Amino acid sequence: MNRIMIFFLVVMVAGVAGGAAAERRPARSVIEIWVWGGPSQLETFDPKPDADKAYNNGLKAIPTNVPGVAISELLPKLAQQADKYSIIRTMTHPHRGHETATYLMQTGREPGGGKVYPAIGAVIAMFKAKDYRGDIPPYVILTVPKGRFSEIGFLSEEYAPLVTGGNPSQTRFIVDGIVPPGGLNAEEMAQRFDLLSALDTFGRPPAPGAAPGTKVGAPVLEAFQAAGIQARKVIEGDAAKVFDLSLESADMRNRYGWNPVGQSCLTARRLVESGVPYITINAQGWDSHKRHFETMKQRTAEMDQAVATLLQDLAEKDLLDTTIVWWTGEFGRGPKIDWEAPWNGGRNHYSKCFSALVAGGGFVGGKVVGESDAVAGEVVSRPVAPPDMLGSLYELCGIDPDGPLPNPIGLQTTILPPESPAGRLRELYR
Amino acid sequence: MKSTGWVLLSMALTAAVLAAESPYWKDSLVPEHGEVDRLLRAGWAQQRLAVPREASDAVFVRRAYLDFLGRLPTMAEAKEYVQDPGGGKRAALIDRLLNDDGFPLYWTQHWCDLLRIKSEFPINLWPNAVYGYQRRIHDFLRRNEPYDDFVRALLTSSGSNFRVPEVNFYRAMANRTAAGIAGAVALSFMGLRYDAMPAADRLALADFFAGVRYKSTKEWKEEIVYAQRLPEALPRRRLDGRLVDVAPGDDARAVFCDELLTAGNPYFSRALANRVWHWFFGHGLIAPADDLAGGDIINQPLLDHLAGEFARSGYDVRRLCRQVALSSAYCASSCQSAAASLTEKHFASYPVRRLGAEVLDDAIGDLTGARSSYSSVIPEPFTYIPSQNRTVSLADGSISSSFLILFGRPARDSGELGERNNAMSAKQRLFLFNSGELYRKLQNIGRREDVKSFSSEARIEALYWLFLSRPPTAEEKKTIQTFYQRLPSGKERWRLQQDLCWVLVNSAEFLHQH
Repeated sequence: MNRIMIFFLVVMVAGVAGGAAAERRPARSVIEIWVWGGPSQLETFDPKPDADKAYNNGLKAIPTNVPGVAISELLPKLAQQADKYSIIRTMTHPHRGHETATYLMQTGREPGGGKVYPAIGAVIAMFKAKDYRGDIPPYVILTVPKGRFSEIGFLSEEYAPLVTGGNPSQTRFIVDGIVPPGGLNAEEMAQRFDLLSALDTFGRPPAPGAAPGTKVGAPVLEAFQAAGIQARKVIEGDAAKVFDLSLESADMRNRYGWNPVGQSCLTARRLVESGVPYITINAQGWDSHKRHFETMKQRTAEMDQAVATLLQDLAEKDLLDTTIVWWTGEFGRGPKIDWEAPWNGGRNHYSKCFSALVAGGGFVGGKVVGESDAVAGEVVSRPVAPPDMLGSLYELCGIDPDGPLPNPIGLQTTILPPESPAGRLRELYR
Repeated sequence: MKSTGWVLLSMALTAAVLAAESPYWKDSLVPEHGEVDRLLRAGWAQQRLAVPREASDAVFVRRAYLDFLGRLPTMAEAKEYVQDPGGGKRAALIDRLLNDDGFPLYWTQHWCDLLRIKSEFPINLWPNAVYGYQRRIHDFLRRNEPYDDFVRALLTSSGSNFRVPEVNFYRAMANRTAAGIAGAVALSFMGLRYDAMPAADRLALADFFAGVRYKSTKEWKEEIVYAQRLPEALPRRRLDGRLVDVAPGDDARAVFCDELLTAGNPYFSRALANRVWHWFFGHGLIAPADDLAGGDIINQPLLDHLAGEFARSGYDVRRLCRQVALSSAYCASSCQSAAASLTEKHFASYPVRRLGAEVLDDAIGDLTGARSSYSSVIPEPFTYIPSQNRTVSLADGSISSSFLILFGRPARDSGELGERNNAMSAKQRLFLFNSGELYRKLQNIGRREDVKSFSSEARIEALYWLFLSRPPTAEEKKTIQTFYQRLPSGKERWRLQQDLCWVLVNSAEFLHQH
């Protein structure tokens, strides 16, 4: 290889990474913590202790282990990990309905127009699939799908998420489809499979009169058999062990917290260890129209422990540098508290200004992007639109968000809309 | 020596069983009656494909129930048909199914997919409009309203989305510009892809819908659709190049309907004939069935014939269905001796395909008595659909379940037939092998009246009728006996039934339309 070629290669690699340092290794996995329903920015990463009580309900901010960065007093454990993540306080977009906002936040595309784009998880699963050898599908959702929102959009089914179902905070996490139900043991399952292969003969024996060697099976039946072999590998291989949380110490399970979000974070770490490229945790219960503060007290306590432990655990296992963790919802909550009945201290949907968190996988920690006004209601500086966030995630995964998005419907399109690159979070790239 | 003799004997027996009583086909070839069959045979001859064997009665009755009613035949229904020695029973069965209440119920789903009926994103009909619109479609099928009248009612409608259900045609599209409406009309009623049409045709078509307007009222989520009349006459071009005048004060949509619904229009009747063929066979006579201009032509003369007959019948949808279901292709076995990819493509063997998501959900619900219920909290009003309702009758594409998503129910975003994904994936097989939900449902089968009172052997027979609409073969009985004898004593009977239900629900024969 001559010098000129090497020069070109370097330029190409740098180009893919958006002009950032060429030596940075792309992130291997992504953990998306989807704070479903819209988390309040004021009670998480953009507290406003000096605002009127009508906005902050008297809640305070606490300092973190990074000088000058303060977060809500409801997140004391995360305050001790602030060097590992950066905060974006100026996420902004115009959609206040769950569906349209989720679509925009997950695809970077404006809703409408007839074509439904895939979510970032499906796109990353598709690009990373060629380097991934595991039996578990490359895109896993813990534990429920977003519903009504088609994660794969127009991509093919192979990049659809495996949705685990089940409850990881029970002693045994029964992942629907992977762990045999009803306590059947491996031998009993093997007997079942023997009986199945003896009886499931439809389309298998060549029909009479077929020339020797003729492939007569219907094409869909061949795909059916292949899918069966692949599925059985998942059941009988090591995949089930990844979801077996009893292989973790009791101490480790305690550290994450005995609740669905905590144990989902622990499961996500195990999935990262086995190389799964994209994991989404859909954390439920954040759509706090009514009795917001009661809800927040419980939700933030669980979330604080789960995410703080996850970051610490990933760092201890040397996985944080290759794993992106991002945390946000489809929007935030209205800054002014609604004390009227039936809300009784609620916060409504609010998308003009809300918060997100990014960590690991090439993002630096300890920084704050953007500034909001005195009540966290308006962006003062550095607005970050959904495609800016997604574009950064793609770039750090080594995927060019302005490059073509291959698809089975023959649509000529790029991953993100063409006008988006300027706002990406390059100030946070390592 | 002794064992070799035994193997040879059992091989001979197996061969005899295969030749004598296949559960899947008859020894006779499909019959030839009338023009449809003649055109099918001409197509096979052209491809040098053999005339196919007939499907067995058990296969045919299962196939017909699934296609007309979206459900498996009950044990009694399947037995009645299989054991009926009479002639002409195929036509009698099809007439009975066409007049069953389940037919309009299930076929409403086809139209709800086509017309993109969902309350939210990217189509925003909102729940009460969803239900009004679905009822209107159900009425069209229940009354067998002429298809041209139904389409004219949709295309010329004006008024409130809550009071005039037909106006929801104009609301059930993500893009409500003239071009967006033209695209939906082209796909839905002409079998054309708007984006692939020549630019001049696109403009001409869009012009007819340039006057469509929407306005909201003080009633929550009510929307009025109306057509602005044109102040002056405009010459407009039909798709095949003829000029059509729209006079001042005309509703351009009505003028378009006159053009679309004349007997000479090359698209309207072909679009539906090809779709109906697709709904019975899994692909069209031009495929994909909703791309008449760009699709792969498989049997154009047959499509032209069916479309012509359909127009001459006054657009009688049931008559068209009857004609397709009585064709020799529909009674062909799915097991043929040439490469299936070729025979299936030309309908010289019945194309095997996975059951659709909703049909599979209902089949499991019917067998186990544990039907799915559905609910939706957003958008308001809250919706709860009790488990007595069949999944195929779900009106709202926005109300779903992880099962339906996993098994490829269409999202109803575009209305294209290709949105339904009936491909079998490893994730689906994992679910069927191992899901706790399915495991619990299958345990109910033992409580069925028609299963629990039987002795073990009769029980096995009953399970085969329930899942596969046929009795087990001698070979299958032997395999099950051998398995039974190898089970550890004690809980055998329980194990056997559970294991057998699991095997049947996971078998290719159960999971596929064949």
